[in-house]
Formats: sequence, structure tokens, C-alpha cells
Amino acid sequence: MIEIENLVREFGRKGVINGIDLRVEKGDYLVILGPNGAGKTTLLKLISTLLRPSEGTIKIDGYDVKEDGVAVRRRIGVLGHVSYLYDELSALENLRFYAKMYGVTLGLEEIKAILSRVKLAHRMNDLVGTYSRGMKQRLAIARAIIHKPKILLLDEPYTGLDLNGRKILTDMLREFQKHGMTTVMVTHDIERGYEMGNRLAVIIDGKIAADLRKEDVSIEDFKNRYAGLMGAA
Amino acid sequence: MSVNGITIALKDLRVEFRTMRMIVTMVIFSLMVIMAFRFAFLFYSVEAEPTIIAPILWVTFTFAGMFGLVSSFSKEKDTGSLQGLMLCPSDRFSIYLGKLLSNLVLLLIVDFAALLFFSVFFDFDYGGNIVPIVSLVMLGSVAFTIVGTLVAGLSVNLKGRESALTILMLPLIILTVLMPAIIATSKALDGQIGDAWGEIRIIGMFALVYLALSYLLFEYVLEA
Ligand SMILES: Nc1ncnc2c1ncn2[C@@H]1O[C@H](COP(=O)(O)OP(=O)(O)OP(=O)(O)O)[C@@H](O)[C@H]1O
Ligand SMILES: [Mg+2]
Repeated sequence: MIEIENLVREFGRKGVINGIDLRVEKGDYLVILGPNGAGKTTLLKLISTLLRPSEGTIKIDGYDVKEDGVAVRRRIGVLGHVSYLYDELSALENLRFYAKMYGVTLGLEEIKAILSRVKLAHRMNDLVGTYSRGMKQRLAIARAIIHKPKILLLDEPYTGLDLNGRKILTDMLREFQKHGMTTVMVTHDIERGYEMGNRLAVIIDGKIAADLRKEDVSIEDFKNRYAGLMGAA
Repeated sequence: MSVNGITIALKDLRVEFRTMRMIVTMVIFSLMVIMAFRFAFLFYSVEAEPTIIAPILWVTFTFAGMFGLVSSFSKEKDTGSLQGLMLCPSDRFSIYLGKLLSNLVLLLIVDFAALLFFSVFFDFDYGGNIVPIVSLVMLGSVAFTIVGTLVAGLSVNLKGRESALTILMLPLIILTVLMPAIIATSKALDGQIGDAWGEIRIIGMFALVYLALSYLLFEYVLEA
């Protein structure tokens, strides 16, 4: 569960997150939309302890991001704008490294199984530097879930994936959802967001401009409201 | 905590020895510095005595060491993998420890190469003083890397981070590491290591102070 109260983050004098209150319950799938530069990535970085709040609090399962960073990080899996992978290491070495860092012991077979899920097992000994963008994104997905997180933070996770890769990711996310995963996904794809999420929020200028449950709004209504908000912004 | 530090260091060293990005530059740099001094000595027929050898060695170690420090955080910052490390469930000090260890291994390799180059080009025999000399070089390098890794981490988010690193670094190490190391090394070269306890204590003490400072600061200096 994620509890955010009165969150503010400034860079220098510029307010990027300008007072966000948000509660994401266990099992929720929150989709966040909003224009470029609205503060979506910054919000995910604040939740994942990559940035520190200027004001306000964020709690993950009751753990404060400022005081209990380690406990917070153990619970979350993050798929960001960048892959966090090392080009000079193979896929296998990358996953082994991160598994160790997360304190999980995985045998070769287990790592192979994870790589098979993202259809990379046949390339696992190749250096990641030789991978295509979509292949890197697939490996980044494997990396994000290697420690079986309870909460997933996804920043435009479909970027770079081909049809097959998108299906793999969608199936995976659906399966996690079935098992009670809490998910926050930033996307620019309204239709996919509507399809995947059970809750839709719009961030504009570092504030929550709309926060709706899917059952309360049809896709057409939502598209209209979103267009209205974007026009007003 | 320290387990993750070791994991990070092993990863760094694996990447380094696979790509040879830094170590070759560092070793060649130290070779060039020592050769340059060798030529100067040839032309002016100066005697290679301890008070001159010690600063030559430490100039070599320090500048070669700087090369390694500059990229130790900034490369990962630029590729984004530093965020990957920051997302791992350990305190941020373990990232510092990892970088400290990998920087130190590279620097020690350069140290030994430089000591070797020196004895070859100057036809110099460390003789019975080799153990105290190597110990001093190692101690000084540990202290240098403790400071350098902290400063590299502090400066990675700054705009002119490379110049910030050198500007911050020099005042921090000159009196606390470099001068005492040079004095102690020249004493050791002279077979008088017994007289160098004062310097050794200064280096050791400041190394611990900087390590403690890193522990306190590192939780707050890294931001993605
Ligand atoms: N480290 C930083 N220093 C200064 N400003 C920053 C920093 N990071 C983000 N910003 C600013 O914060 C604002 C929000 O950025 P953010 O990356 O959160 O946007 P976003 O909603 O994810 O946009 P996009 O849809 O393009 O990914 C932007 O104006 C950006 O310039
Ligand atoms: Mg973004």
C-alpha cells in the first residue's frame, strides 16, 4: 500500500511536484497519465527513494521513504525510463548481479526460467550492449521482478517493445494483478491504460488533476475529460 | 551492507577488466610521468635521492588515481545504472563502499606498476625497504581513495563535476594524505621508517575521519 501526503518536490526554486495526496490500496492498478514534464517520472522516483521529498511524506506498507529506504526498496520493483542494465555484462551476469544485490539466491535454472518468460534465454550469454532496444526493455522487465516485489512502479513500460513483447508484458502484469500485486503505471497510451488499470489519475503541473475509478467512467468519457484537462493545461 | 559493497566492486572490476577502459590509461600515464622525470634527471644529472623520489612517486599515484575516480560514479550516472544501484535494498553507504573497493584495486595496480617502472627506469633498488615502502603506498592509497570516492560521489550531480572533483579533492588531501605520505615515504626509502610514525598516524586518522564522514553523508548525497 502506498500513502502519499502533501508531497512537494522542488528542483532549485522550481516546484515539480506541487502538493500531491494519493492513496494506492493493495491490489490496485493505478494508471497515471499527463503531459510531458507534468512530474510523473519525478513522482515515481520519489516513491522509489531515488529522490527525496522537499515536503510531505510517502509511506510504503507503513515504511517512510526517508527513514526506512531499505525496507521500501525491498518491496518495490521499478521499471524506469532507463534500463539500469550494464552493456558490458551479459543478460545472465546482469541478473545474477542484481539478484545478489537484492539478496535473493537464484540458480542458473531459475535465472533461465525468468529469461525464458521474456524470451531471452537463447541470448543470455550475449553482452547486453549488443541487444536491441526492445530486448533491453525485456531484460529490464526481468530485472524489475527478480526479487518478487509486492509493488510495481512502471514508467512507460511498453516503450520499445514489439507486438510480442507487449503481449508478454501484458500477460505478466495481468498475472501479477491476479495475485494481488499493487501497480502504478505511467503511460501516454490512454487505451492501454484504461484496459489495464482499475484506477486512472491525471497529473498536470505536479498536481493530481483527476483521479477516477474505472467503473465510474467509460473510455469515451475519460478520453473527453483527459482532452479537456490537457486543453486547459 | 558490506556484502553489497563487495558485489558492486566485483561487478565494477569485471566490467573494467573486460573493457580495460581505465586501467590501461592509468598505467600508461604513470609510465609517462616516470619516464619524463627520468629524462629530466638524465639532462641535469641529479641524484635520485629519497627526498626527490618520494614526491615523484606520489605525483604519479595521485594523478593516475584521479583518472579512475573521475569516471567511477559519472559513467553509471550517465547510463542510468546508478539508479539501479540506488534501488537495491541496502543503504547508500554500500554503494560508496563498492566504489571505494573497485577504485582502490585499480589504484593499487597502478601503484605497483609505478613502483616497478621506477625501479626499472631509475635502476633503483628498494632493497630491504620494500616492505615498509609498499605498506606506506598502500596506506596512502587507501586514504586517497576514501577521500576521492567521497568527493566523486559528492560531485557527480554537479554541472562541472570533473573540475569540481579536482578542486574539492586537492585541498582535502594535500595536508592530510599527500604531504605526510611523501614525508613518510622518503623516510622509508632512507631506511628510517621508524621515524615516520607521526605521519602514518596522521594519514590513518584522517582516513578514518573521512570514512566516517562518507558514512554520514552518503545517505544524502546521491540523488537520481
Ligand atoms: N533533476 C532535475 N533537475 C531539474 N529539473 C528536473 C529534474 N528532473 C525533472 N525535472 C523537471 O521536472 C519536470 C517534470 O519532469 P518529469 O520527468 O517528472 O516529467 P514526466 O511527467 O515524466 O514527463 P514525460 O511524459 O516527458 O516523461 C520537468 O519540467 C523537468 O524538467
Ligand atoms: Mg517521464
